[in-house]
Amino acid sequence: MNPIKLLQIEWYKMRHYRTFWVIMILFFVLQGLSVSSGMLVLEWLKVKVPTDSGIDFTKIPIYFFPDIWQNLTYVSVYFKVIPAILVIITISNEFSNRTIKQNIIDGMSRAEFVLSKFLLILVISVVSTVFVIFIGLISGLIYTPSPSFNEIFTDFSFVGAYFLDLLAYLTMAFLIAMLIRRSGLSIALLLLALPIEYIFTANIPDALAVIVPYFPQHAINNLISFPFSRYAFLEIVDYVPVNMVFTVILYILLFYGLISLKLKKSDL
Amino acid sequence: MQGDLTTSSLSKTYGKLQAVRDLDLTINAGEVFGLLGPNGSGKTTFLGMVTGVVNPTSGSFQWFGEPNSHHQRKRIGTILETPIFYPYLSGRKNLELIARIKVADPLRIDPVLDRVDLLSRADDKFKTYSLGMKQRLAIAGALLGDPDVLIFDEPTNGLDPEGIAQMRTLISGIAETGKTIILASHLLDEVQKICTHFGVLRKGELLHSGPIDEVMGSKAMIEVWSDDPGLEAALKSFKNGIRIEVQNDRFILHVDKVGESAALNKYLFEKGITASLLVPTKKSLEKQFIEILDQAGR
Repeated sequence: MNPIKLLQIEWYKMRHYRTFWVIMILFFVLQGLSVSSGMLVLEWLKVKVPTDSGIDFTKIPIYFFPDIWQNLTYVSVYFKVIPAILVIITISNEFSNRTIKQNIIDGMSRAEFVLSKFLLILVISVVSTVFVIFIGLISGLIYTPSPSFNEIFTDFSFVGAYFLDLLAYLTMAFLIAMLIRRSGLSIALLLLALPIEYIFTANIPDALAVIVPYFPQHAINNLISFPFSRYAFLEIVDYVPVNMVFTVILYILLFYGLISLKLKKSDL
Repeated sequence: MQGDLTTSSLSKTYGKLQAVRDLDLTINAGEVFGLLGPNGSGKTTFLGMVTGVVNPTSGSFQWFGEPNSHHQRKRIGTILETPIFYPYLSGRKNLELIARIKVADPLRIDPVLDRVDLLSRADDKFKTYSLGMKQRLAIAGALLGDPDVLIFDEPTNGLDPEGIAQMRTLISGIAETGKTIILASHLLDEVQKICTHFGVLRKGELLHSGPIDEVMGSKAMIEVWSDDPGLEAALKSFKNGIRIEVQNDRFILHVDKVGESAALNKYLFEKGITASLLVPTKKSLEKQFIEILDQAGR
């Protein structure tokens, strides 16, 4: 079956599923609110923090091109946990309702099932990325004094990093759901995955410390570095590291392979 | 002859449990094949393998003489013991989804809903359906792709008497259209009423398979009783007898065909034995079934 047909099947499952709409709307509203409330935060800081230093927080150019792209994507990507929970719910529902079994019986191959869910993840990632671009352009154009075309698209690579970050994280959620099959436990493991990885890497001997950034969630989070310390005149990683891009792409392929292998070997 | 379904040495083990063992079976086009066996005999595992949801440990199977692939499953309609649908979708929307997967004509949805008498409830959510309605929707889903083969796994389990009657009428109706049907059941009379062929599974092994008519027609038993002590010896020497068993003081002589009773009567008379009771009976599938299990047990 061609990918378009598979995506149509998946979309048919989703568009009549109320939880899908509730979670996706929550995701976009929260993301939109948080990134557009940056000025409010700065105003609040201006009132709360003594200004002997003469710093006017509202003058900090967080919404200026090209800074905005890293700032915006860094904040937005925190909300990836919301669609990841949706991914887990849809996959584990297929197992708990046993509809995955019926899909296979009706003539889907296991590989087609995996692809149909991955296409859903891909579409969620693309739509979210378009949303972030939209927010970025609007805010940037409002706050940046006379932006040039060149300025607007400088550091646009962070938008690509946001896409990759989301895609990798959602594929990881897919893998967790495929292995655990139950939504509660899968969501718990998803939320604990980052602390678990940090505890694990903290205990790696110094001689091997060089591999730490290549652990899955380290690599994903290294795509977009913390940007705001630059306003305290500290040095930041103000680019998307290419080695991390490749590492994350490899992880996506690895997760996809593991998901396919697991389903291939499973009796339903 | 190439069967609709051919399995060779199909086996499945779960850990130490051998659920299905070296199963060789051919089911030909147009047969209504009843797969009999007690619960846990491997029927569902077997059907799971041939419908692609259970990976065989070893052996292989072919549908329509072609190597197994998911494309063939689009030509097969399967009704599981527990109907599976998306609970938040209506009956009709569930069928629309199946039509997309099976690449079936969506125009068939209304006719198949009508066929199973669900048209009036088609737009209600699946989770509001009774078990009988869920089962009928499963049949509608199976018929959607106009399949060559239909598979039923314990289709009447858990249904009320009315539901059972409806289900049997539906299955018989489908059988009359010439489609191949595979029906797994632990209910003998169900298989006897509907099927043309049957197979017996026990502990994962296929003990017997063949047409039901052969069992019912050409093999028979004659129940005999007499107070003459020479009866047993006389029966043993009867040339067309296959074997003898004793039940409540009466002898039961197994023979090849029902017509042997006249010959037996004549033979006993010649031996000077008067039989006070001589009843020819066709074997019921139940007796045959127990016999098959008995023989395998020895």
